[in-house]
Amino acid sequence: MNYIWHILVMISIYAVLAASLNLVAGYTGLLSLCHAAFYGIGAYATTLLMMQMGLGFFPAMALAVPLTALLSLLIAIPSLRLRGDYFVLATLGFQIIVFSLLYNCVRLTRGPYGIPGIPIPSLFGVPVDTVFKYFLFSTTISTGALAILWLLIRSPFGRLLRAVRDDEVAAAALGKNVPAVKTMAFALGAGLAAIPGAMFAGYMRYIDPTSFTVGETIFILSAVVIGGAGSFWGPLVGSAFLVALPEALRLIQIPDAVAANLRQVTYGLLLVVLMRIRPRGIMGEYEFK
Amino acid sequence: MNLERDRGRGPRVAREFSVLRRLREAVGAGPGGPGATGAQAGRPALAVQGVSAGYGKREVLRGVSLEVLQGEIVAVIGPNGAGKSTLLKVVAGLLPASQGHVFLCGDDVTSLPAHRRAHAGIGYMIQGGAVFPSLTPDDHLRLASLVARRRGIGGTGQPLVPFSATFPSRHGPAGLLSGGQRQALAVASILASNPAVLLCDEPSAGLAPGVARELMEQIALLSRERALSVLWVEQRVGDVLPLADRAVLLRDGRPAAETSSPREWLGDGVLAELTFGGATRG
Repeated sequence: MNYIWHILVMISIYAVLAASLNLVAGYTGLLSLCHAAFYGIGAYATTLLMMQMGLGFFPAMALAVPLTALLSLLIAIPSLRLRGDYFVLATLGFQIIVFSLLYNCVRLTRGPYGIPGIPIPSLFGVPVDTVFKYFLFSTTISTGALAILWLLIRSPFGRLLRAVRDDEVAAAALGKNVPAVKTMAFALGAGLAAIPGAMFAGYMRYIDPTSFTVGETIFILSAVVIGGAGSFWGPLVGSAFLVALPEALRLIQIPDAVAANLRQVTYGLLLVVLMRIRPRGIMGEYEFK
Repeated sequence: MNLERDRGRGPRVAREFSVLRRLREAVGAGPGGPGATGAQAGRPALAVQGVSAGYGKREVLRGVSLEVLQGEIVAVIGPNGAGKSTLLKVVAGLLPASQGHVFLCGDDVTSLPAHRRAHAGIGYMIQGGAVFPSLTPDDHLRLASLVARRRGIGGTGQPLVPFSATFPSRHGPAGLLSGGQRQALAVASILASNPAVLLCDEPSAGLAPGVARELMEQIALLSRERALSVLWVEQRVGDVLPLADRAVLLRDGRPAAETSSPREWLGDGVLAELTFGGATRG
């Protein structure tokens, strides 16, 4: 049973990650390749605030969110002036820099050794110490985070994001400050990515830089694209699909010698087929150009 | 005059017309008018002084100066590549001027970015009238009326709602509208932002001739009703000249001719000159 709860915890974490990237990539049209960096900054910030400053899980997370949003401005302000492909490359560069910093700032992050022994989060004095409890805990947090996103998207600000995505020039002609809108969307998406970072750190109770690589960014982006960019439910469906799919393939009886490879092949093939038949994703609204 | 004939062209064109006519009914009710525009009589609403601009090293505008008086419709015509659209981009703030100044109601707006110019009262209708494909018609008008509210002259969002009700899919994405409806929506959005100066870049581009003429007539009527000052770039010379108070012929990035009786340019001589200008540019 714990196995099922574990998968559901992972889905709840990835759902918020993908949904926060969707705010940036799907609703605002900014194809960002550094979301795992913000996820990582959120995880490390929460962990360090808990272990070095002795804060509880929630105060640490509450501080990690604005901190991550603030750090995202380091990349947003210079790179949002760039157009299309160059913006994508700039965010990729930021992702690699953050990974290197996490890996090499040994005094702060312990680098490749990672940080073990992260305290168990507790809620109203009750420690969240079993997988089932953590499932309830993480589902509650992600529901809260997704509710915030839902309100954002339905608000006039959400309408503005889609307007900027659809036609920047027309938006500027209607008096919208396009660079400011993009920067705000980018920082909001980054800040929201710190929440799953905290959830992940509290769940694993050990973090190291390998969880926050470019590969992880691609995985999150896949969840957005496969689920359907620019739709609220898309990234949730996409992350459930991507987290559960390898597990489902595990159930197929394949000889051990080829199992791992065959699973990878099947996985890749399914993604290719899905993109062929539904280029806008399962719930699709918006197609990247 | 040609409407009766055009109406016989089938249900699609008729539907476009009904949307266009409702556009004027709906927008015309808005609290526009000369009082809201902030311009003073005797002063030009828009003045362009010695503006040069281009893309990279290619200079397209070479010292253009022109004025649009309060409530005046000025048509800008000229061969392809003369810099007509570029001129509007510079006025709207989407392209920086390498030289010269742009004045709005006497204020120098040359250094303002595009969105600040919109706040100051410049309404720019992008070539062919851009809409946001994933937003609904209602969304467009709300988005636009925020600008008017920001300028403290009241949004015209309310009277515009009956207009968007005429769309077949008021709550559906604008990307699904027909060409004419989309362009009518673009006009409505710009007008909902209650500008003092309207910049039109071929608002009827890509439409069937009958629909195009109707849209252009409606824009002219709406502008007259609200005493808007309009700078109107147009390829459909025969349609725009009768609607304008003045016309400027742009050639090779400079005003080559100007007239206060644009209809006279419809004579054979001037049209030949236009054609000739186009031919020399190859």
